[in-house]
Amino acid sequence: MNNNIHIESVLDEFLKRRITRAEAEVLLEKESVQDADLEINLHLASAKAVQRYNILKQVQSVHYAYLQSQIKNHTPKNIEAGKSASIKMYPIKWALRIAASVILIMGAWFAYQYSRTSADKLYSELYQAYNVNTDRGIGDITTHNMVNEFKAGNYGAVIKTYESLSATNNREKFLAAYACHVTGDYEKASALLNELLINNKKTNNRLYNDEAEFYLALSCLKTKDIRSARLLFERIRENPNHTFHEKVSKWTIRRLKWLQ
Amino acid sequence: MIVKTQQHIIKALQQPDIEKPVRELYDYYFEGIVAHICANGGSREDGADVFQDAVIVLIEKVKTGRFRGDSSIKTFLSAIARNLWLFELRTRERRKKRELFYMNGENNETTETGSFLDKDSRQDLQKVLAEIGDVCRKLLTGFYYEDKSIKELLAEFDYENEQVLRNKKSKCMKKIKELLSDNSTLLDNLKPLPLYEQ
Repeated sequence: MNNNIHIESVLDEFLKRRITRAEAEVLLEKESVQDADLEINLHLASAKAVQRYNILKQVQSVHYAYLQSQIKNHTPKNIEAGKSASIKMYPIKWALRIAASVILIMGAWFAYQYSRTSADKLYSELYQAYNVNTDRGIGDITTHNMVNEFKAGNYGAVIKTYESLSATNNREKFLAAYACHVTGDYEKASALLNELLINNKKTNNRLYNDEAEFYLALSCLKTKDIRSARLLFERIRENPNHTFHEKVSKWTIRRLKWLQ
Repeated sequence: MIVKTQQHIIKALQQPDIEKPVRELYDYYFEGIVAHICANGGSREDGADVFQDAVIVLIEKVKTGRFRGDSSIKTFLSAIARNLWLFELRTRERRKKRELFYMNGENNETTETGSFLDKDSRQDLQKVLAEIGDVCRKLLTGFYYEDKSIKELLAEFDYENEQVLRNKKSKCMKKIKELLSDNSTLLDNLKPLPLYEQ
């Protein structure tokens, strides 16, 4: 037994770092230990086992106690408190869900609108037929039948009559431009309407100005001159007194910007 | 957590009685880690297990002088928990695959070891320490874990003299060594672990 105790003391001295492994091996060999290396390793493993066991036990003890305290904290009274807390959370959760849904729907709607927006679609929405209901008292003496031809929808005749005139006023110019527009000659319609607007600016005249701006903007849409169309529609939108103000919305301008 | 508190916990973990600092670790970090595990496909029970293992790894590092508080405890525990959870997920995935292999008549089983003792080894360890008996366990804990001297142990235990105490300790060590020799897996898993700094 004494021999065993001495061997144990040597191993403990090594374990407590009071002697080196080599010194321990020499001392163990002196005590007739056959495999000193094995003896040292087994002794070390035993000590490590004791150390790890104590760590595990203490951590497990705290772990168990902590989980138990959590269960205790969730007694029926606390569960009720938890319930009311979660009930209070519901309106916020629902509000967030609704907001998210609205954003999603709006996003989808915008994406759909964006993908569907085209110059032709906008044109269809904005186009409005022009009707000559009454003669405007402009004091001009007419020697032709342009107004009746226009009223009858004979736009080819309107253009022909216009081309036969040596001098033209705003009304003749506008009716001819509209006739060109209706018959698909958007370039010519734009030229005539531009002419009308330039003349008006020079003479400080407003006669047929609103009509010219509106149909010029429509012609620009047809010729895919989106920038000019947008500028004209913006001008119409910004002027509440404009004849076609109500036809042009912010949404129209937004989509024109997308098209650009 | 303030640095002072962190240092206080580390210092307390270096002592033999670690229940108080471990409880503080639970109070400060348990919920955060569990929430992270729950957010990554685990249950609350999984989170609790992972947290316990992460705490054990932290203690292991502190006791072997490999964690001195250079990084925050929170960062360390989070990183360890994340790795342990990934390891667990992979193990579960492998388990599923193994089951499939078995069903197909194949067996490609591989063994995995963790940074600390794995679950099986922990159970074996507890069995071994249970088998040596209460007196031996307390005596060896006093000497090898609490770093008490033979004289201190003599004052604590009811033995006639140092010689009798040494005999008892020697018998206890013989018993534990026999049990470890019979469990080569546990012995192999204990070998690479360092002794705690005392």
